[in-house]
Amino acid sequence: MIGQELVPILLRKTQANIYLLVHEKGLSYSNELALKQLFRMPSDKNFLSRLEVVRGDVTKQNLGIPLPLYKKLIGVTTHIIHCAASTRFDLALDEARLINVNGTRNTIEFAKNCKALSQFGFVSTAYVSGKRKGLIKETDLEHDAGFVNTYEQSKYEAEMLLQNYADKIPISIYRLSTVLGNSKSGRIGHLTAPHQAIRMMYLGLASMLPGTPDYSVDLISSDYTANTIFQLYWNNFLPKTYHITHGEGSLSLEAMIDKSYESMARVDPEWVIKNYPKPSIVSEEAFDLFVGAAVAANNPILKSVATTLNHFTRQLLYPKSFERRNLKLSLPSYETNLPSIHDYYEKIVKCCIQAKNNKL
Amino acid sequence: MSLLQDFGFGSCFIQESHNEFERLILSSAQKALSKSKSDIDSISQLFWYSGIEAGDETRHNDNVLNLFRYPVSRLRHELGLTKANSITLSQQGCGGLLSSIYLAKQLLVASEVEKDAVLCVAADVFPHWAKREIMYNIMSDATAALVVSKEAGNNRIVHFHQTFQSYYWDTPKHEDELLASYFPIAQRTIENTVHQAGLTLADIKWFIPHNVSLKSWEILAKLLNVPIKKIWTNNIARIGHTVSCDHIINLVDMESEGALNEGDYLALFTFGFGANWSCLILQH
Repeated sequence: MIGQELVPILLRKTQANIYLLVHEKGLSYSNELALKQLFRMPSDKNFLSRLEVVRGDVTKQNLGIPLPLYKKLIGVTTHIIHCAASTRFDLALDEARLINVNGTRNTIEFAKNCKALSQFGFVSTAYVSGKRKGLIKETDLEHDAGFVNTYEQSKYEAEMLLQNYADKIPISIYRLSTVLGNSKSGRIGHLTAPHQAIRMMYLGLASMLPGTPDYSVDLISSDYTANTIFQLYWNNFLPKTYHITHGEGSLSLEAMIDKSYESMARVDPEWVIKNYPKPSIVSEEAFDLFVGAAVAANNPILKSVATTLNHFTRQLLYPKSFERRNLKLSLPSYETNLPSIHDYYEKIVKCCIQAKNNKL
Repeated sequence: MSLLQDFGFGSCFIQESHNEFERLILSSAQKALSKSKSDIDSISQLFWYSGIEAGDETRHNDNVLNLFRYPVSRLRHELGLTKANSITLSQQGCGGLLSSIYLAKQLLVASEVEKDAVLCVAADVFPHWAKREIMYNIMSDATAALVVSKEAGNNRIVHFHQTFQSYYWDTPKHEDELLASYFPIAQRTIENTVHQAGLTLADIKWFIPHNVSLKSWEILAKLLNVPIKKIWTNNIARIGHTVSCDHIINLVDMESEGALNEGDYLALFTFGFGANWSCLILQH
């Protein structure tokens, strides 16, 4: 989702040539098609001349790029932004590691070979903090609190890996909270866990969520986040870690549920007549029993709902806040310009409920 | 079967012969009347509730008059309820008997007759073709009866509250939504009923369940933040779920076990297709 927002900014605000590594799902994209469909940009000659889609796979040696092209790229690459990852919360740990840890290892190997490399940006998650509670600093990483899903754990391990290269490569890490979508258009790159939760509420299938009503759900917009990364990376690069989060003013879990229902009622007035109940906010113990029963019963719909909510919402049991000291020092205006979640939440909800069969 | 055992079920009661329930319901009604302080002439209403419309399979033959062969009239006749208005209530699933009790109470509140009483009976009998597992619950055949009277010495009706979700009227179509909605609405219905009665959950001595899966009661207990030992689950394994008779069977068994003390507040909760979530507060 961030890559889709970041590339247009790089094309518009810099004169850099961009080599865009895309995996097999992007095989059908020509440079022009990528510009139009992935980035919704006009077929401008300048843009086209600076964008090149490179087929590859971060899980493979040499990033799966044919050797002649690989050699060319290590010769010309000056900047790398690594945002290739699986953001699925329900992958087996081995699968998550393959993409998020091995993918990072292979990207770092590529970076080490780039003779003119000046900086390496890594898009991570604020939830590398896993099951820790309380204040999380940007300088914090190592902990033994555990993780609520394999996404968190694999991103944590990727960050640990990057620490080994800190003295060789200038690395900047951008830890995002939960990216919801574009604050102006409501566009969502793909449906991730919070979108699934909204969809389940819309379909009347969300029975319960673990947590406490006042837990703060930290949601950020993809456009503002991409712009923040761009400013930190391109205009103000420092080899530091940044928390890019919403922080104060985030919705509480109860308010998020209420706002979802209010938004759904406005977006689809006919939905109101169904009078679906709001999910209960429950303890971990109650939620575990519910998920266990749904899995044991093997009802395909409920099992899918319970397991999806299980992976997303379990983080709600570990209330925490993220310090943004580095971010404030580098970008003092970050908080002033941060879009209010209240202003764009409905656009995101609209996009979620218009998704057909869980696809956008 | 293993899943149903894991969910707390053990056995199931099925009527042995065709329309045996008519004999059973007569027996239930006679027992209820004999336990009650009300004499037979004080019964002004007979409510027969059934949540299953296919109970009497003998009606389906060539003689159209069989459509008008009413079990409620037969029961009135066999009990000798010469002064009772008899009527059948239906289509509230498992919530129907609790609603009948509430209706009876409202009638008695409006009645000026000093010793007025209502006999409520329920018959839950599945047709022979029906499987006995519904949404992860085992279903038994059963009958139950009780007398609601102005003179009753115990089980005072304190409050009744029902939450409706009529969008779910087409049960097969909305099965998944029903399963998802069950817990949040159950939690809110019980909490609201107790609150409206001027009580707290801590005031409730016993939660008397409809005998759906023990697993679901364990979850609901956590949602309500009440210990599972306050939910009387002894009949889930032995009898299973019976559409609308569970609470009366459970109350009778609790009384005979000595589980109830005078003054205890009891919360009877059930969910019925249609859909409704019902909670009745009694004071023993």
